[in-house]
Amino acid sequence: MSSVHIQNITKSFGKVEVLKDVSLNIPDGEFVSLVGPSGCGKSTLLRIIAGLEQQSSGQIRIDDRVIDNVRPSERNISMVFQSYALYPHLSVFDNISVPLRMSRLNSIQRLPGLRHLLPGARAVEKGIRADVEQVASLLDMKQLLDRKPGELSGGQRQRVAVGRAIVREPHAFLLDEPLSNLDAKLRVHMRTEIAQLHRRLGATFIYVTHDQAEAMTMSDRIAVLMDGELVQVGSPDDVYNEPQDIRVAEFIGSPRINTFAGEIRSDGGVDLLGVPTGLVTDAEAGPAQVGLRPEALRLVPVGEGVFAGTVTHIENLGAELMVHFVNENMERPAIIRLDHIERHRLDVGESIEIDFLPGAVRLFGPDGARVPTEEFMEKQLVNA
Amino acid sequence: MRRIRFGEIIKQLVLVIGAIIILAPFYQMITTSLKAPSEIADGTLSPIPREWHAVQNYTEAFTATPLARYMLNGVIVTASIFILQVLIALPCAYALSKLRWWGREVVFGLVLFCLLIPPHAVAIPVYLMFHSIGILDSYAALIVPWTISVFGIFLMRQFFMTVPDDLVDAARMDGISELGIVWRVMLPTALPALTAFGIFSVIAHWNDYFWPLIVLSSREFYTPPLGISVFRNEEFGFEFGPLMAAATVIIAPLVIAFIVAQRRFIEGITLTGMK
Amino acid sequence: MSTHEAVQAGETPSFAAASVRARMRYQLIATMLSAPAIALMFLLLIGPVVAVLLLSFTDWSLGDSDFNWVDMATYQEMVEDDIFWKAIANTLIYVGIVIPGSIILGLGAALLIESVTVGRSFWRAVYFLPVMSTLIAMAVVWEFMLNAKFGMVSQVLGFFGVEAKSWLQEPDTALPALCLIAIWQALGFNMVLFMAGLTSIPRELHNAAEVDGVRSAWDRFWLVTWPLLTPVTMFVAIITAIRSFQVFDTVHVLTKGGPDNATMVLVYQIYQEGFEFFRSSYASALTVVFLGFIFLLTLFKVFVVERKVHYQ
Repeated sequence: MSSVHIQNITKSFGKVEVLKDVSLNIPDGEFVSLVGPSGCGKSTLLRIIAGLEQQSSGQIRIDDRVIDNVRPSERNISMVFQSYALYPHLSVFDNISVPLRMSRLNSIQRLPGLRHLLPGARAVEKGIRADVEQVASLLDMKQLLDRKPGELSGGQRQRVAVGRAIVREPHAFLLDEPLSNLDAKLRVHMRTEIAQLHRRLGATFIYVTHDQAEAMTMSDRIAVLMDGELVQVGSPDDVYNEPQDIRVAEFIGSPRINTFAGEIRSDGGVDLLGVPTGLVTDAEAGPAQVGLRPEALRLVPVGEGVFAGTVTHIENLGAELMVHFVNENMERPAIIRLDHIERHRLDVGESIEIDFLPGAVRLFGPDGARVPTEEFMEKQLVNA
Repeated sequence: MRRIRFGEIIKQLVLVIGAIIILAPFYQMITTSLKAPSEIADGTLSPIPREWHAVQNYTEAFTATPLARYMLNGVIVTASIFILQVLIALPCAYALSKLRWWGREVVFGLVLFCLLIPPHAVAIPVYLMFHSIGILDSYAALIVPWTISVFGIFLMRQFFMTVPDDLVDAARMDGISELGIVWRVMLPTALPALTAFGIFSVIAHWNDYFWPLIVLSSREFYTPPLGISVFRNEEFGFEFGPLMAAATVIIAPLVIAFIVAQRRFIEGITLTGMK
Repeated sequence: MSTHEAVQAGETPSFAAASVRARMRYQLIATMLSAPAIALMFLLLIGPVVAVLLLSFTDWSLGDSDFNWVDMATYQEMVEDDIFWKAIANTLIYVGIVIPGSIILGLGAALLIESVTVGRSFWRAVYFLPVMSTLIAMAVVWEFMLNAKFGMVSQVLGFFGVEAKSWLQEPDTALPALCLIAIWQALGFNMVLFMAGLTSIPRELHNAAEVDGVRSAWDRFWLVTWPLLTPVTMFVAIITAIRSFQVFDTVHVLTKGGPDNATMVLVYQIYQEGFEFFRSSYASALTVVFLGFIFLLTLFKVFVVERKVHYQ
């Protein structure tokens, strides 16, 4: 197992720059998710690490070895493809043994038919069989070894693709949206399985997904890519709680973070929809955006709220409720997450009042970058 | 990076050598058509003739035999065949794909069966039939046997199956008759498939040799392939210059059309090649 | 209320009648639309095939006023005819050479052209050119090329020290020369079919092979390309066989079946018997054999190649 170092990678297809100066160090054994909306360059970055795509500039290292001019087959990296890319004419056993045959048999022994005839090859085949069977039992698919990919379900194919990746000991595993072709229920299940597999192997995993939930639930660290730029890298908690960019704040978390029109006053105070938030900042005065996660909002009795709104829609998720509300100052409805017990108080069209904790407010400048804030009531009072 | 370039050079070299062999007959044909008999007899391979004889060769090709007439016959025959094939095959393909009727499966089975029959296999009875009704040696003899194209029916039926039924129903709601639907709704949507079939049909019948050879005896109906073969047998025993000029003229229309619309042709041939 | 019921009661039978009428109408329309095609199919294809079969059991020749049923006598004659066996053997040799020749070269050209970075459509057009060219005209050109005195082939071979021959007039080289022309013409056609097959192989499969440690083009070919191309190859082999079985044009123009029947093939013999000697019954028997071969090949194509859905 090895660490992977991505240094100042850029990639252009003609005039389109899909990756802009991306740098990321991935220590040995870490599970990193590259996450972002489609077209953000995350798959391209993964393909560059695999060697399937050549970067325009920058460097990739595995441990201390620069691999920029090394072909994919020589990099000793394994990959699980979005479409699984199983060889349709080979059985599950043969599919999984391809990487082993490629490294352990020479090109004559590999010729169709000969690996069963040449004595040297037969001994190697025995070792390969043992390794494949071990992987099959690890992934609980021993009974599938004789089937062809066409006879497998989506989940089983996915497992075979994983098996083919883990059968050898590569420097790192690359996974390119491996769950996107599965149905929702299976996807949740496979999330757990892959996370467990990572813990068991202790290997370096680089996982590409557009699904923030997958990234949140599985990763040690999340790297958020937006328009070819690496916007933020951090633990799931970090990225969720302390987004450094409004795009990150909006991408991570479901339902989406509420954003309100805000303003930084000339005295440093921060207003939300014209209401003081109890926060101050050193940033320049002017318009800003205020982010508040749905669970940071609280429903309060009439007269106690910071601002009011009208309920437009209620999503009942069983354990919790998503209440959509709007008021005349808001550009679009905001969402408040409520426990189910609060349900009886609400109906569509009803007026509600909302409060929030100043500590939950995330302030972003007009360029979308995070603006640091402090919770100094005194300062605000002094300035007032 | 250097290794990739090297491989590319080797591949291009192999392709060049292959292309030389592929193009050699064309080269020989065109250069010979420009040369004088004495130079041809020397057997030189040079691309540029010592003495330009192109005008004489091509003039002779057109005057010694009615080459222009043969070409015209070729156009008349291939065009008539294609038009009649479409007129007959399209309504049938429509009925087989978009209407529910008793006997549909049987008729489609017949179509599949007829797909197996090579043209040479029916030559004797059709010849005898034409002989007995006295239409041998005529345009009709050249055209009639090909008016039914089961392959055309099959191809168009497969294509029509992919056209949504809603489109047909919408046309019915608009008051278009069934035959009107064939020509005004199905035909325009099927244009790509029809083009492919047209390319297939025109190539096949422009180049056909067997059937014209059998049914024709008068020069006035000769098609280009028959023309050149007779040309070679009688007019010019060893006068290769005019003969090659005539060959050039005969293959020119299709080759030029191919060069102009290369992708269309290759797509068409790929589609119909699945026959 | 009562009127409503009355309408409903009255409508059921009339509705059914309307539905029957509609079905009748479609039956009529469909029959009319397909009638010309059906009639011509019987007149020009099915009828003649039956006629060929019947003729082969008679002794009729064109011009005879009446005929006798002779059971298998015509076939008996055929089995005893050396030329027939020669024709069968030559046809099989011809098919046996043209299939591998045009497939290997067509596949090679397809692989090469797909793997180069510049000039793909140019090369494709060049290699496809013979498919477009009128075979009769090109046969005349080939005859000239193969001319012992001033043909290009003899000159080039002479350069390598091979003695010039009248290739088409020598019994041992005439058939191979015809095969050469056929391969030259079929190669581009097969190449285009292989190219279609190649583009249907998912790119991710080649990527997966790379990542799995496949280093050489050789390994990639055996691991991915060849297995995935097998159905296409089978298919191309069958259609090449069906086409080659029908070889006639080059034989008629260049060799007339000679020298000494060295290039006598089945369709040429049918032509000779049927349209030069006008022995209609014998030609019909030969046609039945020819049809038998084509049917076998087509059935093989339908039931083995097209049914053999390896995967998916």
